Amino acid sequence: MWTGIVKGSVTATVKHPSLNGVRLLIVEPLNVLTGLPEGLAQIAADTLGAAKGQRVLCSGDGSGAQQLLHADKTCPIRLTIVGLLDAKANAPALGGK
Amino acid sequence: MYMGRIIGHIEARIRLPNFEGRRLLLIQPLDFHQKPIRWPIVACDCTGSGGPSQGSLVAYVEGREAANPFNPPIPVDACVVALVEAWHYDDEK
Repeated sequence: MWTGIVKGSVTATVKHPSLNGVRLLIVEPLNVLTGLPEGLAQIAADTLGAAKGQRVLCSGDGSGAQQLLHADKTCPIRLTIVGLLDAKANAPALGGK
Repeated sequence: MYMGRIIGHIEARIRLPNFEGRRLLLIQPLDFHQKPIRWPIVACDCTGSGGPSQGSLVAYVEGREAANPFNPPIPVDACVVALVEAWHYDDEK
């Protein structure tokens, strides 16, 4: 799992059925120590309703994604947003206190 | 998932039987400014749309989960999961 910031969204009509009704957000990894973006932005499936600029927690676990999306074993999705970081997070670089 | 562009496909006359009927697509991974990142990869398609055409933008998955949609199972490392129509990307902090 890693922390990231939502930088945008992706629209796709033709997609794997497991993605129907799921938002696809562009997430850029954030270094928790510096608070700076680090690494390549990726597309993550979102079921929590993260907004642009929101700091999020991402997971790259495929079987976790199947549960989250209520999908079967044919689901090819890995990256999902599993949490929205709040200001109380104990990481000053991420905007917490 | 990353975004990429279909830049062609691979022909392989001799291949594992389970690959029968599967197109092997060549994808150039892109960042969200459409700048190429890393080198091109080979992927299969699981959107069930007859496959993305040359030059189209797609979202693809890499890793173990990329092989999930295929029955009979095939040993693929990457698979196209969506055809990208539009995206919004705000690079400002």
